[in-house]
Amino acid sequence: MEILIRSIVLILAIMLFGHAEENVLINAHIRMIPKIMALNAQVSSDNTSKTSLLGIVYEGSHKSNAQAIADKINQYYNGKVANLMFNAVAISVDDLMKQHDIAFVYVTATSTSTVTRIGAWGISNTIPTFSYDTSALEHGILGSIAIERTTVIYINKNVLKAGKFRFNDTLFQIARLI
Amino acid sequence: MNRLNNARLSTKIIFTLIIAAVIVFSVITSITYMIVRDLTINSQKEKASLLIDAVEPSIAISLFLGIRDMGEKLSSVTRLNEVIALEVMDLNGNIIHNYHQHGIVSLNESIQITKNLTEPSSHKPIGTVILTYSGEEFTKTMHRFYLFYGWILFGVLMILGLMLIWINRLLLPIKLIAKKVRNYIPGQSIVFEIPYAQREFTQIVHAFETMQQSVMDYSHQLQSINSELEVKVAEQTHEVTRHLYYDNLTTLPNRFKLQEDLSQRSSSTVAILNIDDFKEINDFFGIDSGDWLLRQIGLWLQEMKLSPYRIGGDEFAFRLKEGTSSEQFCHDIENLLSLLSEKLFMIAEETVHVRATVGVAIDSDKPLIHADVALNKARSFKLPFSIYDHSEGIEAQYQANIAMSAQIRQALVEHRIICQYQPIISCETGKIEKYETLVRIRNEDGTLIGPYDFLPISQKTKLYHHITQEVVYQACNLFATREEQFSINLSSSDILDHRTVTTIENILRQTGTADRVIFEILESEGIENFEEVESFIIRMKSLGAKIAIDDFGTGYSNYENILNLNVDILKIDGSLIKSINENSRHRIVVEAIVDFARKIGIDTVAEYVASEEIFQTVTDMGITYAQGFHTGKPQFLDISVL
Repeated sequence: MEILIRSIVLILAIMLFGHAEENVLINAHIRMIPKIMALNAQVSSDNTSKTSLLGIVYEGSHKSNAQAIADKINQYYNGKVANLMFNAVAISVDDLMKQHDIAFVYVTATSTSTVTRIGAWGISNTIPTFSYDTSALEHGILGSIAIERTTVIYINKNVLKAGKFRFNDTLFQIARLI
Repeated sequence: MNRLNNARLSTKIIFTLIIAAVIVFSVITSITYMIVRDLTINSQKEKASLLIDAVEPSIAISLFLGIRDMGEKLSSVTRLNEVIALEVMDLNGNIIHNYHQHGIVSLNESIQITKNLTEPSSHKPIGTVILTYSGEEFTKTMHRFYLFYGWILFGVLMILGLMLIWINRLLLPIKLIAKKVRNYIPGQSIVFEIPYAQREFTQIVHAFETMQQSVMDYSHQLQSINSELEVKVAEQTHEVTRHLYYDNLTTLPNRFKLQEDLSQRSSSTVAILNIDDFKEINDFFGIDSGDWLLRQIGLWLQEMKLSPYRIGGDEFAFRLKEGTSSEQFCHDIENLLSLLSEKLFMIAEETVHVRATVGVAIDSDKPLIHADVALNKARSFKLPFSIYDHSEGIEAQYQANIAMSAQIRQALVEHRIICQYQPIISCETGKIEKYETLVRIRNEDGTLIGPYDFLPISQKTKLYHHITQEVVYQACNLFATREEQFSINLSSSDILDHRTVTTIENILRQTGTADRVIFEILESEGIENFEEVESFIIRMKSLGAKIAIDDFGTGYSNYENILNLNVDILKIDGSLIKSINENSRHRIVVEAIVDFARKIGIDTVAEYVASEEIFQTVTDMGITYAQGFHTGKPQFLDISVL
């Protein structure tokens, strides 16, 4: 019994820790993703006068999760980061494929196939794609942010090259190209 | 400043070199110090700037992205030992990252670089990064600089020290030359030995040798001139001594020599010989002949073995020789006078007899003075020879005369010369018609001194005229307010003194008394200086004054002179009047005078009328006025002098 209780407590603790870590990561992404979008040279040069769209992509029934992230971003930045006017919107994968006015894409938890499709779409449309999951970089996503010993920005150099993405040079001072 | 001016040449040169070296060294050191310091600091700043530039983008992007943990990204900088501190702050001043090197690091020597951070895309300011870079390298560089220049300074000082020694050695010949010249004595020869022959020193030595030769030549000339001068000075001294002690005319020792000879004894016996009437010889034969005679007399006196001195114009002196008694000395003098009276001197083929008078002072403490007193006494008594006798009191008389002279002078200054007036009455009416002015001196105690006591002395001391002028002034001012006539006695010296006569005229005009004043003149003085007296009488009578002849009847009583002088009154001498009743001869003389006066129409005054009998007699004889103690004693009329 005691073992059972201990196991339950452990499981609960692990769950709580995992949930807390996930919150920290999401919060880091909410603060940093719009800024990385502002560092996109293409976005900052084309959309100086109009509002850019930051797409928070979801799959299936996870719209609420994506919408919550979009709301938090809008609430945090109030529609402006640096000189860039933007609006974070939750968008499904299918809708994303149909639209071309999205300036920056943030992918929440999705399946591998979907990730691959979004990565290819981003490369073909030269739209930077960042993912919640670092492992998505292996499937054609441009970048992700991880909390390790310090906050680390990962960028897939093959995708960077294939999609002809242009970011402010200073980003590469701290980003880890893989 | 004076010390520097008087300093040695070597000191001045070294001092100048030190100043120059200090200035040059200071300037070079200062400039080099500034250059090195600026270069080092700039170099360090450059390094620090490069470091901060290297990490600034990472910091900016991290700050932009909100990545607070920058340690890893800044490790490339912070790992350097030179980086002491690195601070990243946001716009609100919140420290985002703070790195401080561990260990003891002095911030005083550090360099701090600050750089603003901007957003990568919009370039808006987002924070500040401050890098504190170690100044240790700067400090080390400056230490190396100080050490380098310390050695240079040491080297310069060593060079200056060596130069001081070298300059002293170079100038050593000057010291040697100066030492030789300092001890130079004219007449001696200096040999200059210098350790090495620089051209400048040989020139100086040559110049000194030339000067030395000139000085020696000049010294020889001076010695020669000095010898000649000494001879001339000795001659001049001899000549001056001769002039001082010897008479030029007779070559006999003079009064000064006699005084010096006499001063060697406390008492001496001296005789002074005066040539009688030598002035007449001078006047008759001329001064040259007089001088010739004096030389002859001097020679004759020398022949008489009396060792004469010539002490004045016609005075010779003799001193008692040692071993001779005063009696013998007097005997010799008498014998000399006897021989001199028999001696004949020839002047211009004329025979001249010379007589002399001698005064002798025996064992006197003032031999010259006493011999002179004796000489005066002999001349007064027409004696050929007189010996000074202290008991005669002649010196006391001299002292009294001197005292009286001072008293007269003092009385004149203090206005103590006063006048009394004796009435002269008319024999016919018995009324006072005139007064005779009689002068007195009032002593400080109020007693009076009569004119016989001070007028003779005043005549000899040139004070007489002042007294006369004072008497005329007082009498005229007094009688200017009265109606009587008044008479004033004048002497011939008053009449002959132009200033006195002019003063009298002025006083008469100022007081308006010329028509009532009578000037009394002695008959004898009128005869001796007839022309001057006549002129005076004419001047006074032209003013309205009258002239009376005083003491008439005892002297020459020359009636012709009286007529010529045109006098107004004859005052008959008192010696005739006071015995007129007893002495028939006097009576006859007085009657003759009265008769003469009546015939020429002038008045007569009888003096010394001492009694009623005499007054009656003179009245009966027809004398116009009477004056004497019977008719009125001298009295003060001016109440202000009472």
